[in-house]
Amino acid sequence: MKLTLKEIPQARVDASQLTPRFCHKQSVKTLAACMLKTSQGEMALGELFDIKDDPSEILVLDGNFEKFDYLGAQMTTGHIVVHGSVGDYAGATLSGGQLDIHGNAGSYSACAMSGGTIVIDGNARDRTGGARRGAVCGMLGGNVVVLGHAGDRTGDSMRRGLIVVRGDNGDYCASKMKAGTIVILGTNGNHTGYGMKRGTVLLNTSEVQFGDTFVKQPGSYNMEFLVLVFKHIYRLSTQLQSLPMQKLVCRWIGDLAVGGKGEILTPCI
Amino acid sequence: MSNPIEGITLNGVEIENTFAEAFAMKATRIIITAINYKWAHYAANTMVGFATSVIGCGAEAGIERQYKPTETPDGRPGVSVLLFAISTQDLSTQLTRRVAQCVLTCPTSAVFAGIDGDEKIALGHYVRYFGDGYQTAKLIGDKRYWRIPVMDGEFLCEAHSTAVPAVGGGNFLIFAHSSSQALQACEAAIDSISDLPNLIMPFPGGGVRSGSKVGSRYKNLTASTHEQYCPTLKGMVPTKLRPDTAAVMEIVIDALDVQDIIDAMRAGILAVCELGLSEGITTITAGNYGGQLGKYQFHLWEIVGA
Repeated sequence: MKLTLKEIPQARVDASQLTPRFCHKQSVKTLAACMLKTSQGEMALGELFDIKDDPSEILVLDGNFEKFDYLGAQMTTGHIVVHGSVGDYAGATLSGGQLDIHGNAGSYSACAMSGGTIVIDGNARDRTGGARRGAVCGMLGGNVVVLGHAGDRTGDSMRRGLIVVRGDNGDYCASKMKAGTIVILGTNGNHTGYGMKRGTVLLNTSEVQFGDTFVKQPGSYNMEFLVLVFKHIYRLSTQLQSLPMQKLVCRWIGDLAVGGKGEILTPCI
Repeated sequence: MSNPIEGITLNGVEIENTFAEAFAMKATRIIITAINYKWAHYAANTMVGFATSVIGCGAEAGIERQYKPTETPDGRPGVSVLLFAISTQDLSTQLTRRVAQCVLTCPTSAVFAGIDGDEKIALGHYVRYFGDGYQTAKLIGDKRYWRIPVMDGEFLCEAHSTAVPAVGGGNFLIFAHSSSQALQACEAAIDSISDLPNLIMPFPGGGVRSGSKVGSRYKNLTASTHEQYCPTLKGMVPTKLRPDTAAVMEIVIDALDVQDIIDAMRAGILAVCELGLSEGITTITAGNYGGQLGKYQFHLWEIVGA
């Protein structure tokens, strides 16, 4: 099924219903009559999109979806490809399948996600893989790849899963992180690991300022598990396959302010 | 043991018309890696020690083959080990014990599951408690690993492996004019079998010199020497041996599949027969319990294609 956006709507649209399973079990006609919630009431899919039946199992969305929130949120299986940027909460609570965004993503992408894979070709704003407002845990599983840059609080309160940012990352990365793995390949902002309890942050730069509540362990360490992490990353996106594998690292432990046992790994100079 | 009816010969070696009786078992494969092959083999050899027979050891184990760094999960030199047991529970218990005592303790080692199946069994799942609360889990893809702090850094182990149905106890016996000739034939068979995948020969070096029968005159023993195959008892007890037989050796094979046993037995028997009567090899036969105990029967004539 292919949905092409006619024009950018005035209202914000809750796009959580748009899953491959929902779209493919219906005819074009019935799908066009389905209603989506918006901030100004409801709109029929037919009003918003040109809908084209496609034998492919993939749900293709074409257009600028910056006003569309929760895209892919209810997906449990299947594949969505978005040609364009998306709004907030893309892939939030996603539990399976693959969401490819060929554009930018708003804040709270992949928040509370528990499975599947999200690949964002462009940039992602704040709290990617983070916790929803008021929630104790952020991302609960699955993989998120941001091939551009990411904003602040990436992996906030993250509980499980993997986040990879190929570009630069903002401040407070892995804040209140509980477990999981975050890999930042560009530069990284300040206050990394603030309030971190467990989990791993792998940085590609050693030019990072840590607070007094992170302690550097003497020497360098060969971390075999990083080979497994990198091999897994190579499978997530072809654009990451040329990454050099990094397993000899320096290790910072913290955040000791909260009795944390998390680790931040940096390259050895 | 069944009575052979008549034989055929290959290069002067008589192949008896009998069958090897084998049993259904549970098996798993693990991959042990280390900084180099030397240390990977130390870990693997320690793990497969005292694992010749489920009767006395709880498991049967052996090294299957070496893995190149490109084949292992962590990109280091590796060795695969196959472990067999009577039940999934026994397999899980033996695997945990052996990994904890033999692999965890070996410098630079790591251990991973090397087989896909439906029955999940603990690999590092219980070994992690050695970390005394300092162990950390890593979920990479859909696999969970444990990182256990040890004195040289971390011991990395996959949390679970899987148990798969397997076949244990494929065998054949070699009769020869002397012990040295039986051993030479035994080594030829082992060499030809050891290149095959999905199997092990759990006894020392792959050969067995102490064929056993079920039971004993001593009530606490479940197995004892099979006197009918002992050349030094000829004349004292009914014997299965030919008058010119002075030594018998056995090859025992455990494998993941029936076809693996067939391939291995064929390769081994043909290698022995290649030596022939001129090298003192007289007879190939097989061990069985009259077909009463084992699920599988491997008929020698069918195997050699007679």
